[in-house]
Amino acid sequence: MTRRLAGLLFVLALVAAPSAAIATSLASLFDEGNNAFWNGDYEKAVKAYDRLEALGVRSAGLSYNLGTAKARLGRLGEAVRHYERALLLDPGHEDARYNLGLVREFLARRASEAGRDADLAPAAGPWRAVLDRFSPFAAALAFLVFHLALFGVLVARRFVAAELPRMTLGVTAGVLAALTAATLAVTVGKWHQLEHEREAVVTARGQTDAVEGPGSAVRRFGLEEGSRVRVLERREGWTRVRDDRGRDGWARSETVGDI
Amino acid sequence: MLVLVTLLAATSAAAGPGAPPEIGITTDRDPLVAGEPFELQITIATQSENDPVVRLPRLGGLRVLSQSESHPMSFSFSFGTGQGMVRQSKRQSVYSFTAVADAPGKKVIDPVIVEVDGKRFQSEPHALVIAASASAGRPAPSPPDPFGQMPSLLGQIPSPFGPPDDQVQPGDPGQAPTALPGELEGARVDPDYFVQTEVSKRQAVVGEVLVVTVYLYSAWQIADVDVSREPGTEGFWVENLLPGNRRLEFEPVRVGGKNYDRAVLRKLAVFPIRAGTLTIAPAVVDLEIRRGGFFSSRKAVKRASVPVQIEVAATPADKRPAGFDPANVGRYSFKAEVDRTSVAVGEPVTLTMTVRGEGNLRNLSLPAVGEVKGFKSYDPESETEVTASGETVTGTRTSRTLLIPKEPGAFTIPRLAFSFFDPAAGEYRTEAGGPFTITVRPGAVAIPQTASNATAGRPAADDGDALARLNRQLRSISSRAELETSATAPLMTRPWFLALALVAPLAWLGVVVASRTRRQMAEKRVKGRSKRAEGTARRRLAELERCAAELSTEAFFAELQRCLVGFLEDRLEAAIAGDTTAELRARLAERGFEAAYADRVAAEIDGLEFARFGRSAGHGEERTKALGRVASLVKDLGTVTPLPARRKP
Repeated sequence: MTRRLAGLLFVLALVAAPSAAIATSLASLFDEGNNAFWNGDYEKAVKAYDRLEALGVRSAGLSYNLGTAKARLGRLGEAVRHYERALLLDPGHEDARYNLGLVREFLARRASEAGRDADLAPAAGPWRAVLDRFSPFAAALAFLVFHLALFGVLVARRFVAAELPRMTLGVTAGVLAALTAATLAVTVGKWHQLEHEREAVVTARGQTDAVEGPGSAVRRFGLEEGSRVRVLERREGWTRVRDDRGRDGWARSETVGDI
Repeated sequence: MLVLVTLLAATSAAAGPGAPPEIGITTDRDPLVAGEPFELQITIATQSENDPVVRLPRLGGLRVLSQSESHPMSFSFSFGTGQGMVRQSKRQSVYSFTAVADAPGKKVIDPVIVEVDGKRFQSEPHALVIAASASAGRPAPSPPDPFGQMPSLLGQIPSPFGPPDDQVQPGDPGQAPTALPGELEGARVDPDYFVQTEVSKRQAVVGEVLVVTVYLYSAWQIADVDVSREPGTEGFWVENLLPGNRRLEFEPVRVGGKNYDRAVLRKLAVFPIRAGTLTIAPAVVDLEIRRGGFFSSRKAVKRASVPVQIEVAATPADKRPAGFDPANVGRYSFKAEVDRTSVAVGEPVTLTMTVRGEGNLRNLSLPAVGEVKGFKSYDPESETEVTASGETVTGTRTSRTLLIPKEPGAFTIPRLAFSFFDPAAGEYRTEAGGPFTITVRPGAVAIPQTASNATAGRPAADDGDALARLNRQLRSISSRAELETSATAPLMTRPWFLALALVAPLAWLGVVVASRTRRQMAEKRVKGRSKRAEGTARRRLAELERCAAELSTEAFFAELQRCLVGFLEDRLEAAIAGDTTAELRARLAERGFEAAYADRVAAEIDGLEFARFGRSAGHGEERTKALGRVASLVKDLGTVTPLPARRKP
C-alpha cells in the first residue's frame, strides 16, 4: 500500500514539475517585459510580451500590457488590437476599456483633422452589446451550472410525490430552463465569435487601402487605423475584410491583425 | 594590504569642553571596484572613563555582506594625587564591514555620531569612489549560498554568503536605526509590517517633479515581497527612479519606539498634469513572512499604504510669458545653434536646440522654428535622453530642424526663446538663442520639392506632442496576469465541458425511461392478474362444489368467502380482506362498479359470514344456492373493467 502511494506521488511529481517550471518561466518573462516597460524600454517590453503570446499564452492582462507598450511606441492600431483582445478575454477589464476609449478617440480625432471620416467605434447592436458583457469562460460556466441544476431538479421531481414540493420543483425547473436557454445562447454566441467571426483591427499607420482583389490597384475604400473589421477570407498575403458599413475589400495581411 | 586612511576632524555638535573622539574610516583596497567585496573599518578612539554611544552611519549604496565589532584597546591611568589626581582612560572600538558596491559611482557614507560624557560629536560625511569593473555591463556573479535553503537557525542573523537572488536581504542588525515619529504620513502603522507612501511635497504646481517613495516596514524576516498593485498615479506623468531588477535592501529604523527593517519598494518621479487635488492611490503589497527559528513557518499577508492627496496649482498667471507651455516646468538651460553659417544653395543647415536640466523632459515643448525666409524647413526631429535615478529626473531634450536654402543671399533665422517656470525659484525664466544669419552662395544642388521622403516614417511634431499627451492619459501596465497556456482552448470547446453538458440530460432521460418501463411492467402484471381472476375463481368454485360433501359447514362457507374475496382482490388489485362493508362499497364505487354490484357483493359477503357461524345454514341445498350466487356474482363482476386506482399521496 505504502509502495503504491509512493509510486503515485512520484508520478504526480513528474507531471507537476514541468508545469511548475513552465509557469515560473512565463512569470519571469512577464516580469522581464514589465521591468523593461518601467525602464522606458518599450521595444524590449513588447518583445518579451510577444514571446509569451508566441508560447500560447492568452491572457487579458498580457494583452493589456502589450497594448499599453505599443501605445507608448505610437503603434496605436496595434494597441487597439491588443486592447480589443483583452476585452474579448475579459470584458470586465476596466483599464483596457479605458485605454481603448482614449486611443480610439485619439485616432478618430487625428483622422478627422486629416479630413477623413472615421467612426472607429460604431455603436454595437443589442445582441453584440449582450455578448460583450460576458467572457467566454463566464458564459460557459454559467450555462453549465444552470444546465446541471435544471436536470438535477427534474430528476429530483420524479421522486417526489407530495403536491407542494412537486409544484415548487416545477417552478424552479421553469426558471432554470429559462436561465439555461439564455446562457446557452450567450455561450454559443461567444463560441461563434471566437471560432468563426474572426474579427481584426487595422494596424497600418494612418489609413490603408482596401482594393478590389489581391494585388489589385483599384481602390475601393480606405481602412482607418484602429478600426474593427471582419475577416472573410485570406489568400497569399492578402485578407478580404468587411468594414462596419458592410463594404468588402482586400487589404494586405500585414495591415490587419486578428483580435 | 593597501590602506586608505581617512582621519576625520570630528566636529562638536554640542557646546562645552571635552576632547573630541578620533574617527577613522579605512578600506582594504584602493581603488574600490564595483562588484568586488571589500572591507571597510570604522575606528573610534575616545578618551573618557565612560563607554561612548556610537551611532554608525548608513552605508549608502553599499550592500553589507557581514559585519563585526571589536575593542582592541581599552586602558586607563591616573596622575597626580589626592584632590589633584587626574584619571585618564582611552578606549578604541573597531567596526568592520564586508561590503560590496553593485554599481560604480560616488557612494556617500553618512556622518558617524559619537556621544561621550553627554557631548555629541559628529564626523563629516565620507565619500567612496567606486570604479567600474573590467566586466562592467555584466552582473557580478554571486557566491553560492550554502545556507540559503536552510531554515534560519539563528533567527535574524543574516547568512554570511548573502541571501539567494529571489529573496530579500534582511536588515543589518548592527546598524543603528533611524528614529522616525510614531505616526507616519501615507501609512497605517502596524506593529508587524506595513506599507508607506511618502511624497516629497504635498503642494506643487502643474509639471513640477515630486518623488513618490513606497516603503515596506517589517518587524519580521520576509521571504518574499510582491507589489500586487502599483501606487495609483492617475493625473501624473510618471518616471521610474529605480532599476527594474534589483535586490531589496533593508535598513533598520525605529518608528514610535519600535524597531523595523525598512526597504524601498518603488521610487517614482511624478509630474502633475492638471491642477486640483490629485491622489496617489494606495500600493498593495503581498508579503510572505518567515517566523520562528529552526521550525520556521511561512505566512502570506497583504498590506496597503494610505492614499496621499496632493494639492496642485496652475503656474502663476502673473508675468507668464507669451506662448508659455504649461508642460515647461523645471530647472533648465537652453542652447540653440546652427552647424554652419555659410552654405551653397541646396546644402542643408541643421538648427539644433538643446534643453538640459531637471524636470519632465519628455513633455517639454521647444520653440517652433516655423517658416524661415529663403529656406525650406522640415519637421523637427526630437530626441530625449533621460536619467531617472536617485531623487529626480535629469537629462537632455534635443530638437534638430533641417533647413535647405532655396536661393542665394543672406538670411536670418530669428531669435528662439524658451520659457519655463522654475518651481524652486517660483518664477518664470526665459532663455534664448540666435538670431543666426546664414549666408547662402549660389550652387547647383537640386532642392527636393517635397518633404515626404525626409519625414516618412516619423510622426509630425504636432502629432508627437499629441501622442505624448495621450500616453500621459493612458493607464499603466498591470504587474500581474494569469499566464496559463491551457487557457488557449475556450471552455465551451473542451471535451470535458461537452461531456458534462451531455451527461445531465442523458441521466434525466435514463431516469424517465426506467420509471416508465417499471410502471408499464407493473401495469402489465396487474392486468394479467385481473384477466386471470375470473378463471381462477371458477376453478376454485368447481373444486369447492366437488368436495363440498367432505367439508364442514364452517369450512365450506369460509372457503367460499375466500374465493369471492380473492376474486375481488385480483380484480381491484388491492387487499380488501380488512375492509368494513362501508369501505368495500366506497372502494367498488371508486373503481367504477355500479351501486347494485356493490350491494350484491356486500350482501353476499355478509351472508357467507352469517352462514359460516349460523347453525341453520348448513344444508346441501343452501350450499348449492350459495355456490350459484357466488358464481353468478363472479360472472357479472367479470364484465366490468375497473377504473385505475387513485395514487395515494
